[in-house]
Amino acid sequence: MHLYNLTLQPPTAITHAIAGNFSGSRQQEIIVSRGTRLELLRPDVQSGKVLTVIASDVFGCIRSLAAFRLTGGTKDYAVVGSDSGRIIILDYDPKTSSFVKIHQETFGKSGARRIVPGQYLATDPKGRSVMISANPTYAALEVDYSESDQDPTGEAFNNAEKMLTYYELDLGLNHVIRKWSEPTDPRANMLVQVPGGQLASSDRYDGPSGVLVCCEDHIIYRHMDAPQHRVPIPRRDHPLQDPDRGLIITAAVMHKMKGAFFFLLQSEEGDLYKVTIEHEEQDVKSLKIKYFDTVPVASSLCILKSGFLFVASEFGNHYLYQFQKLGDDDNEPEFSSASYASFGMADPTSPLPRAYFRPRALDNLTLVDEIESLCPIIDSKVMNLLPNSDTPQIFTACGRGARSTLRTLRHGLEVEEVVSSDLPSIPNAVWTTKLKEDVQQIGPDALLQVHPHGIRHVLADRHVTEWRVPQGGTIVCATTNKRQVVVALSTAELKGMGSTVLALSIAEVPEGRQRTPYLAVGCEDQTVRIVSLDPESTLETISLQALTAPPSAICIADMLDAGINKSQPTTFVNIGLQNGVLLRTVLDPVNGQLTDTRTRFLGTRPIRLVRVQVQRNPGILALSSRPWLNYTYQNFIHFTPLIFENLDYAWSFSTELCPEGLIGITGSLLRLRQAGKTIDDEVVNLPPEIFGRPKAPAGTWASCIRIINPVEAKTVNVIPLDHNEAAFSIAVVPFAARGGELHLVVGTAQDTFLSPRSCTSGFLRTYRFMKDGQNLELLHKTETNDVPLAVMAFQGRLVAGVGKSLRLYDMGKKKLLRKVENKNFGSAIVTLSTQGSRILVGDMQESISFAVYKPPENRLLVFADDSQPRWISAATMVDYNTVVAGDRFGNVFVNRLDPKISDQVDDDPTGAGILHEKGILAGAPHKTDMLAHFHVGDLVTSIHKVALVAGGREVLLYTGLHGTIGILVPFASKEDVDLISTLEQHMRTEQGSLVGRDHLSWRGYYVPVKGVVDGDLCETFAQLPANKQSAIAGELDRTVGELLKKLEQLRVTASGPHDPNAFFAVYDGHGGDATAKYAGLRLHHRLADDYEYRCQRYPSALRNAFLGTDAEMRSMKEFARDRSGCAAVAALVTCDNEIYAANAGDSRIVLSVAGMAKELSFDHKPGHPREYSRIKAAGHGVTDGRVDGKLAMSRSLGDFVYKDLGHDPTLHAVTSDPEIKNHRISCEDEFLVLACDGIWDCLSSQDVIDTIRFLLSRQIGLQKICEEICDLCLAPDTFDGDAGVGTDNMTIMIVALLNGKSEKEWHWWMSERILRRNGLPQIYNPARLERARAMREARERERERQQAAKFYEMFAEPRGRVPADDVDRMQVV
Amino acid sequence: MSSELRYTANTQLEHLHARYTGTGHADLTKYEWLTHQHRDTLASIVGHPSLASYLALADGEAVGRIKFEMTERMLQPCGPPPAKDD
Repeated sequence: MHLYNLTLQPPTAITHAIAGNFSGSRQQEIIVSRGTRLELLRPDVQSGKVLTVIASDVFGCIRSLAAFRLTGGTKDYAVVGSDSGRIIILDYDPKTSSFVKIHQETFGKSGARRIVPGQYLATDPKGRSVMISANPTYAALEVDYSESDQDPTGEAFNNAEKMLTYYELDLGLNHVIRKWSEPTDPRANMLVQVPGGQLASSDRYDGPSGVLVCCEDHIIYRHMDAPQHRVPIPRRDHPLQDPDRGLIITAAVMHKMKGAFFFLLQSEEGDLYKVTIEHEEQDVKSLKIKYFDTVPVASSLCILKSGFLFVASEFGNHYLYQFQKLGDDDNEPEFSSASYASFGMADPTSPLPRAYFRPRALDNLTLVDEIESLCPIIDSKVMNLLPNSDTPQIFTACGRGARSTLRTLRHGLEVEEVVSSDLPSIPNAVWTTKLKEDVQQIGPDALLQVHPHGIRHVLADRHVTEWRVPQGGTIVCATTNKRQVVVALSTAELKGMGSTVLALSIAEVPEGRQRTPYLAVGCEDQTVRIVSLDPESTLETISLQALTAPPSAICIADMLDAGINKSQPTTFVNIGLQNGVLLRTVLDPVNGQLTDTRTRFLGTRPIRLVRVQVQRNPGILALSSRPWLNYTYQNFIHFTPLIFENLDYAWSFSTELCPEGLIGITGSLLRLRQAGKTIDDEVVNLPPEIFGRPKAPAGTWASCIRIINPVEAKTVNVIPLDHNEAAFSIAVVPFAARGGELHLVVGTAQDTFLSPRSCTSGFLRTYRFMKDGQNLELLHKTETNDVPLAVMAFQGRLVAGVGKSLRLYDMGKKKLLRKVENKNFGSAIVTLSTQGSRILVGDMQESISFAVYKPPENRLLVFADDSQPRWISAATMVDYNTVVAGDRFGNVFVNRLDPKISDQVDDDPTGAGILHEKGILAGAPHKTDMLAHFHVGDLVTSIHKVALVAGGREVLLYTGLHGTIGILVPFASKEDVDLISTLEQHMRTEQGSLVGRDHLSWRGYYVPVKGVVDGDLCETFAQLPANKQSAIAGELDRTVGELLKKLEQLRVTASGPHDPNAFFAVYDGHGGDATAKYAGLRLHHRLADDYEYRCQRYPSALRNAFLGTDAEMRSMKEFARDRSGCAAVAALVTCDNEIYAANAGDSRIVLSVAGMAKELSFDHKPGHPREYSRIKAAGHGVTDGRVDGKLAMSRSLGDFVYKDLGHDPTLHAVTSDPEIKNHRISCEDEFLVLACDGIWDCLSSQDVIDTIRFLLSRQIGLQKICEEICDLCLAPDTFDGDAGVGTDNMTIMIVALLNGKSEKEWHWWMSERILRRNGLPQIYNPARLERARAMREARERERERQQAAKFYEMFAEPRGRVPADDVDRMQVV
Repeated sequence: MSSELRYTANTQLEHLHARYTGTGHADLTKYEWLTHQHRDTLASIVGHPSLASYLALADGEAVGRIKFEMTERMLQPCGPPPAKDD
């Protein structure tokens, strides 16, 4: 099994955030760490919106982040501490828009270890040095535990002192010295730097220097040789709060203004405090604290100089606030150290009197922007519930406490709703859908109107100049940019165009130029030509692109794609076809050639293309039956479907409205919608979303069952659980005892403690659905002795994991009835999944076990488990023998049971065999094999096997706690596995992790990575510099374009439909191998991309594929001088049992119908009357049975010397138009043979069929048969003058038509058939023969058994007297 | 193993012990081993953001509080050491 890991949605949680001038400009940016990613955010000062500038996966775990600036510099750098055992200094390069690693220093082992520094970082405020530590720094809080480790009385433990220590870097000695160390409060948890030192220009001190020591309930100001100041942390005046609970500060930020500074500290409740220090020079007069505002609990706070506060929430959405005031003149009580005896330090061991404040709504801050975050995803389900949707939605349970939400996610791009009344009343911005009457603004004050009979140029002074179309013609098509107008006339006035022009496009005028040099013209003859607009060679055709269908729209756009060119926009020619396919080719700006064509199927309607602005960059809106947007995002081109209910609206919206209507598109790939937001009234009427609920001691729970309508996103019903009961699991069970009626079973527990795990009682609450699922009626509560952490429906009953035991319950009148139990699990059952009578049990610490229920004996038996312990957090069954699971450390792995053991267990009706088998490694008797293993980097909370598109290929979708959503896609072919894993290896060496983590050891953090290729790493191939890209591509024997296309394809196929048809073809080249090779690479892709193919009109699809491939080759400059050609024969076997045989040339396809050859193709020889007349009509002749005396076939791909430009391709002397025959597969059809003329010249169709059947009857494999036939046909020598029979090249392909059989069964079936028909005569009924044979075999077995028994008796009696040298022989027996 | 090699191996081992706290040795007691295990686990929880978030969610506490409590617990994760026999 090989899987390809792709992240659909990277983690959305923010673990660290720092602010600074990272791009060196005046604007401040924020660098955030999302655990395994680094992102640069830029808050827009005007709009208050936060934009993501770049995001980069670091393939490592970021532990700390700090910003620093070199003395005298204007640019900030980021220092990153991670689990790589290295410290990295990163620079943001605004030119390439990427993070650049400036310095990397290795100092320890990898991994988040307590002895390897990296968890704490501190920077010198003057940018002189950085300190890294496993402990806090510069000023550090330290505890020496060496003594308490030695002292059994615990006295040393009690006396252990927390020391505040100052370290100093002696620049002269280049050595760190421990300068000062003093004991401080034992519950100190955080240090905040206080500014100090003098400015060089003045004598004034910036501040008193020192640190704020944040302790539980207190904040202490400390500095070397200076008095301490202590203030209490004010608490909420809340009646329900636990008064004994301490309060700590969890986030802090210092802000320096001109000549002043203040701190914002945030408590674990989310309250912000403003802390100020009153000082004279270096002497601190007092430390003051007051309540500021309440915002969600943050992992980091950043204050921007432009007056914004960025709150990176621990859980849930992140916020950007704007300061309204600094809380200087309000009535909030302020607590000063000066008002306590000896600055609050009279008795440092006893607490200060409590200080209180009343929380209130935001006063000093206003919310300006919100960044969506899914973190934490607790659970998810993938279902298609929305009406009119062809893709399933991902429903995620996000957040915690009062800020939790149920969110619906869909693959697509969100379009912000634009109010239509905002339509600007400027008449010149109107485009109509009918291209025959275009109005476009030209220059500053003029209008240009194009109508069918001419062009009107309207100047601002109402002066009109007009150009009229010559008599008898009309304008059919027009295109403009700011300076040029091109019109196409119905009389094909554009010179050189053989047929009617359907679409036109010119690019925007390049800066500093008068005109754009190229025009793209789409013609009815299925071509697009690039035409010169140079005054010296106007309307000269430069290059040509063949299409599969007439074009419906063309759009040239200059867009930046760093995958092609990092610094300059690339000119793309986008061609929309009438069959709904979009081609995107790159236009070479120098020579006008078209290269790197990519196709994409957009929908069933002809495509219309509109050039739009997306975030001030050019983009293209493509409209088919579904709207798509092609845009540059983070320097790469993306192509994403837009989510729009109404397509017509989308069309008029984007065209009739000003193009800026699309500016508001967010870069997010997933549509988020808030649903079921929980709102409850609080005692003091504070919204809990902001203020949280009062913290309760451990073992106190509040829980409810909520019914939500996901389509309307409304809570339908809430059932609160009382008596300190909390729900842990839920399942819908169709109880067979109630005739399959659906019941809801909720596993709850009372007074639950998590550590150590205990509860007074667990319950299984059984509900009946009422009012169409809108309400629930409690039927009964079944008491259990432990917490039911997992429940699941199983064969009309309920299976529950209650603590360490697995139980089966059936429905009863008063309660659920326990039927059977297995208590042999290690810690606690957390996941359950089932198929048939098999149950897969995920244990909290002991990985996945395979259990089976044996009804005859009513046994629940565990027969296989994992060979290593795993802390399972999510698991699901992939197939009957395979399971995929995620664990608490961010690993995803796949385990498989040996199918033999599986069969053995299923064949044992009572389970007695399993019961008496001996366990291995203190576990079950069998072990599963690990097939794949991968470290995702986020704690996996749920995992599903789903198809992301209806009828598409199934993938494994997982969600992570920090908001990650990823998929594991099975590879389709071995070829892909080899290619992509080699690419991955190259990427590992080329693309070093930004934090210096070795990629292989990161993905194999806990267990070496196995069977999974990291798609996220592979996709960074696009970001490599061009020379590296081509070097890697060269190593892989591919071009850069091919590799990029392959990667894109892998992403697309993950969400694309699965093709159940099979395609076989033989290409027999002549005059060179170029055509045959190209056809072998391209023809089937063309077929699969064809519109007709999608509509299941296979004959025309095959035709399009043949003709299209031929035309495509012809338009390529590589084939301009190529004289090769190839005979092509192809068979498309569809899932609805049809064979479509397409042939162009003298190869042949033959079907064996019960041993009789049926030819599915006709050999195209020039001598055939129909072929002959066509060749004649095309102006060629036939001599010696060859076209012009040379080519021995009348149809082929390539051979362009016999194909004259301009004609209908089906009328060419040698045409590539295939002849198509159709055959419906019946049960008599055995196999297909595709072979080239080298075979058919030697053997007739029937000969080949007979030979294959003869060899099949001798149990010879198909591959061997092919070899045998070639050997048979091969002439023994070339001396004989016999016209070269048997000296031609030979290719033969045999396709077995399995008709639902397995390959083995097919072989067996064939040899039976052949023997019966061609072997012995059939006299008796087969059933009668079968019965007789069975009886004969039974008799023989019985005789053998008797003989064995007799033999045993002979030896059994004298066992004790067997001579020693006979023992060996006995063992042999 | 040649005597020279043994000599270098020993110094390396000593060096390793000095540098990497928690590396085991022949006379390690159960208590010491357990304490090291716990301290390593606690450090891992503090060091991996997703594990810290997971515990914070389960306990209904802030992540900062969890990190603080875990760091505090590192002082003596398995209670006081057993009394020495001598």
